[in-house]
Amino acid sequence: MCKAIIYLHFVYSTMNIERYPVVVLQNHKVYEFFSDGPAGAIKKVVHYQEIENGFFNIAFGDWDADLKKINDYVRNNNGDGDKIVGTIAFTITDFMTHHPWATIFAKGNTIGKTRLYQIRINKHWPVISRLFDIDGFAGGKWKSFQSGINYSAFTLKAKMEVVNLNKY
Amino acid sequence: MRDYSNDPFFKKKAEEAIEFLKKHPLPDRVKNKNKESK
Repeated sequence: MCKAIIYLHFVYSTMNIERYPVVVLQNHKVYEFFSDGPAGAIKKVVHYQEIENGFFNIAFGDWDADLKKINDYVRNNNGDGDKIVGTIAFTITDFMTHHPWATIFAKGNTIGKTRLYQIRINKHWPVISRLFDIDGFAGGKWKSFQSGINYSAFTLKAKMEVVNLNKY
Repeated sequence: MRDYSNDPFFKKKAEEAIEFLKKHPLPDRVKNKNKESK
């Protein structure tokens, strides 16, 4: 196993983030897990879509077993939002360890969701900023991420120091 | 194993991301690393 993978997983483990176990599919580009709570077990899917060479859009939604398709707009009220975000954060770490040169693009489909991503980035910024370079889109411009600014989209890529661990 | 690549929701999300990035191109400092990597 390469050093960057060990390092990223080690750092994630020190963050003490609660998460669900995931099933990894399609060369670490698709992850499935189940949200568990009062509304029952709800299957969630995280998909890293390569939209350009090395650029991946992160998309996330609920699997609708009746319609056999993903639905992003369902609110399941399982009361486990933090654990779901923690699980998505884990998939980001895992994805980046296997695709260290990738840039991830993230945009919530509602202002609330994008804001939720931002709150979580802020909360773990001291650790995240050691591992990743994050840019946010605000006021018509891409800027390096700063706390206290409301962004409508984000990009994330592993810092060169992390990627270069594999060389040693 | 389920293949989600043709799921209508995921296809729509990819199209939206492409549109957004066309409208708001990423700065060179974000793009450069990907070019170096290939």
